[in-house]
Amino acid sequence: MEYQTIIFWGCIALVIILCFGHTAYSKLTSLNKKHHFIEIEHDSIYARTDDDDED
Amino acid sequence: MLAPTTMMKTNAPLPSNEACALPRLAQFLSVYAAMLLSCGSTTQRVQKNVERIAQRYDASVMVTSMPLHVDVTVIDRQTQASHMATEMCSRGINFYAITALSALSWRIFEHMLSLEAAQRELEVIKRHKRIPIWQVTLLAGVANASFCRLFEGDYWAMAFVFLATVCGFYMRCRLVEQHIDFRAATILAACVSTIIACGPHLFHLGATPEVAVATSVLYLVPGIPFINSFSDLINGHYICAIGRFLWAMETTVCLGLGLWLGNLIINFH
Repeated sequence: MEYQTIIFWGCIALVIILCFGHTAYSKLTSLNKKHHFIEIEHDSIYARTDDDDED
Repeated sequence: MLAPTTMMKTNAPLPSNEACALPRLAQFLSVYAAMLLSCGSTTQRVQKNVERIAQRYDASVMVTSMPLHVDVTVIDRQTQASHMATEMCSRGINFYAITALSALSWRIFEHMLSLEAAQRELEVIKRHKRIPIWQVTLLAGVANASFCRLFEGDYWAMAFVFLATVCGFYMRCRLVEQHIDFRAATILAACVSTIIACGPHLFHLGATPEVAVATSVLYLVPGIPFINSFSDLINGHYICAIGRFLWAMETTVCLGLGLWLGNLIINFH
């Protein structure tokens, strides 16, 4: 019965994601635009670290 | 109770010097009819209301209702005709709009409203805000939990049915907003509701887990389209009747599929 319990909680999680997922995504993208944690350049995605600033 | 139109009226025809008056009336009537049909009204009501409005302007009207659009032909005393077709938009059932539009047709007829005033009132009805979706979701949950109680479900079953309905109803609304096909959204919502309603069985709560599962998808049953299709059938509007019946059957098959899928996943017997 364990997998059935996992499916049950998975459904609850799916509904929660559907409810709040868009809001969370919007907030994360606005934070990223402000602080540039992750940037997409051409075909590669790189994360800004302290080494980039020192260079 | 006397009908409100017992006194003799002299209906004022449209101004004959306005070349665009008849097409404007045809446009107004077709938009009115499309809005009324989209909100879940029967075809008979649409026909009566449109004829009443046309009578006020001393014109006759023919309404052709199709499943996805409505055609209106208006003919004035000089036997000039104007034809307009309007596509229906899926607004969902809206009892406020049906009542307001019916009342508008009576106001136009009794108070001899001009076409401009009628159009303004129609715009006001269009812009009227619906009940917030979270309220509708909670009330649907309470209604479905009451259904569970009617079928002799215990309080645990009611609680899980409430949760299942709220989750399924909200999920279907969001999926439809994201332009997911309505049938796929119904299948997913029914599946999720069924899985959540299996909670009493999974966690050994209460004594009526099967009632919870059976009543968890009742909120998806298309009651009004079924009733409207039979009403249209009785009144001779066969095309609309068949269209509505087929749409209702599609929804019913989808909810049955979702229920079966949910039972298959959870392996609930």
